[in-house]
Amino acid sequence: MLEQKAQEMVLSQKHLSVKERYTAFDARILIAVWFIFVIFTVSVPKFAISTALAFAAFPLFVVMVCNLPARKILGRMLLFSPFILLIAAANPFIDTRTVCEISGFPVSAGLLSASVIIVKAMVSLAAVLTLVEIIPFNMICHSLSRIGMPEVFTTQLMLVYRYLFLLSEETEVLGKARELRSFNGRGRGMGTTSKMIGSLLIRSVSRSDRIYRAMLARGYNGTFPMSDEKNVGVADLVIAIFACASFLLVRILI
Amino acid sequence: MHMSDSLLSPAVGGAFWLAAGGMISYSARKIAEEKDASKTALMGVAGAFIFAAQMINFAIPGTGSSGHLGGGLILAVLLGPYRAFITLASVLVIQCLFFADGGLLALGCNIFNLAFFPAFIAYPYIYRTITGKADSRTRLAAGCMTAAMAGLLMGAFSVVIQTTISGISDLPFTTFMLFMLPIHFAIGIVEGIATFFVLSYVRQVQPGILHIHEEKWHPSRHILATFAVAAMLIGGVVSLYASSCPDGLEWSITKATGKEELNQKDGGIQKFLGTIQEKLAFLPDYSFKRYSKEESKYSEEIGTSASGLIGALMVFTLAGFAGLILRGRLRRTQDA
Repeated sequence: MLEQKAQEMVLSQKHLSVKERYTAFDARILIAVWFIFVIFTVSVPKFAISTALAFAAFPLFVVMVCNLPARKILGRMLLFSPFILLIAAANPFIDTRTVCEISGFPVSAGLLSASVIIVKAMVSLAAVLTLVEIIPFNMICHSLSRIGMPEVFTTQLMLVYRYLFLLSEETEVLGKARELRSFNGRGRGMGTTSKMIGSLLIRSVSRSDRIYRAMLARGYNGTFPMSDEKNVGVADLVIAIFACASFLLVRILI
Repeated sequence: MHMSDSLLSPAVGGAFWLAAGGMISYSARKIAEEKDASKTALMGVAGAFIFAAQMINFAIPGTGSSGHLGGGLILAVLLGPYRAFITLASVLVIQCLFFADGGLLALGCNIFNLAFFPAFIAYPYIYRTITGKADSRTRLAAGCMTAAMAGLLMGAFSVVIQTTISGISDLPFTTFMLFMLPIHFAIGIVEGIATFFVLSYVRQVQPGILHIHEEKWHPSRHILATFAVAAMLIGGVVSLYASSCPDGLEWSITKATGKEELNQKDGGIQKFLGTIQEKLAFLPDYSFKRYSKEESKYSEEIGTSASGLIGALMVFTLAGFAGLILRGRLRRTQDA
C-alpha cells in the first residue's frame, strides 16, 4: 500500500507544473482556516451525526470550487486507518442503549457515536487532502516558516519531500530484485530484508554526503532562499472571517 | 498506531500540539547551537530513508504475516536525539498531509507518541545505557530489543491515555490498555529484531555510520521531563475541565451570553432563524420513538441530531452547488 501511495505522490509531483493551483490567497491564512475547520469538526459532540455530516460541506465546496480530483480524494479517504474503525466498532458493543428507531430498526447510542467518529475522521482527512491539493508543499513549508516554525524543521520537511521520491524509486528496484531472487518465500525473511535495508541506509548516508557537497557548491549557507513574500491582504481576511463564521453557524445551528 | 482527529477532543489535541511545538522549537534551538550544517542533508535523506524502509515488507516467522520497520530507533542511533526528533516529526507531518495518516489536530499527539518516546526516552535512557561504549553484539541486541519495545509500548500507552481523556471512545481505560499493550509488545519484538539486524549489518559493513552522531547529548532532564509532564497534565486537566463544560465553543457561548445554549435565546436572529427552520422543516420528528425518562436526555440529543440530518444534507448540497457556480464564474473571469 505504501508503494502505491508513493507512486501516487510521484505522479502528483509530475503533474504539479501543469495542475491548476489556487495560490492567490496567502497560504498562512488558508492553513489557519483549515486548522480552525478541523478544530470545529473535532468539537462536534459525541452523538451529533448531523453536525458532523454538515461539516463535510466544506471539503466538498473546496473540491467543487477548485476543480480538485474528487475520485482521488474519495479513494484516499476510504483508506483511513483500521485503528479508527476498530476503536469506533467497540462503541456499539459498549453503549447498547437504544435511543431511537428508524423505520422500525433500533439505533443504539454506541452505533451513533461510532458513526460520528467515522464521519469526523473522514471529514478531517478530506480537509487535509484538499489543503495539500490547493497549496504546493514548498509553499506550505514557507508559510510554516513565516508563522514561526523553526527553519531547521521547514528545511527538513522540504528535503524529506524531495528525496522521498528518489529513495522510493530506489527501493522499488531493490524490492523487485529481491522478488526475482526469492523462491517459495525464501529470501523474504527478516535476515535478508534487514541486510537490504542496511545497504539502503549506507547508500542513503553516502548520498547525503554528495547532496551536501552539491548544496555547498550552489552557495548553501545554512538557509534556503524563499520566493517573494506575500502579505495578508483584505481578500485573505474576508475569506478567513467568512469561512470561520460559516463554521460557527453550522456548529451552532445544525 | 497513528492517533486520529476523530478520537480526540479539541482540548487534548491542542495541548499536545503545544507540547509538540515546544519540543520542535527546543530541538531546533539545540541543533542550531551545534552550528553543524553538514548534517542538514543527512537528516533530509534519513527521513526519506524511513519512508523507503517502510515500503519493504518482510515475512514474520511463524505467523504467516508480514511487517515493516518503523525506524525511529535507527534514526536516533544515526542522528542523536534532537535531530532524530526533528526528522521523525517531519516524517509524521508528511504522512499526515499526503498519506492521510492521523489528522491535522492529531499531529501533536502523533509527534509526541511516535517521535518523542524513541528519540528522547528509548534511545538516550535505554539503548545507550544497555549498549554502553563497549562494542558488543549481545549488548547491541539487548539494547535494540529493549529500547524498541519500550518506545512502542510508551507510545501505545500514550494513545490509550489521549483517547480515554478525550472521552470520544466508549472503551474503558483498562480494556483499551489490555487491547493495545500486548499487540504493541509483539510489534515491539519484531521492531527490535529488525532494528538489531539492520544495525548489526551496518556495524559489520561500515561501522563509521553508527558514530556519525558524536556524543553531544547532555540530557536536560528537567526540561524534557517538564515537557512530558506538562503535556500529560495539560491534556488531563484541560480535558477534565472540558468534560464538565462540553466543549470550548459552548463554554464561550455561555461566557458571552450567560446562557448554556445560543438557541435558547428568546429573541433576535436566533428566534428568526428558529422560525425559518420550523417553517422549512419537513418530516419533523421523523419516525422517532421516545423511551423511558432515563433515556429521555439521550432521546432529545439524538432527536436534535436526526432533525439536523436533513439540514446537514441541505448544507452539503448547497455547498456543492455554490462551489460549482463559483468555479464557473472563476473560469469565466480567467477566460476574460
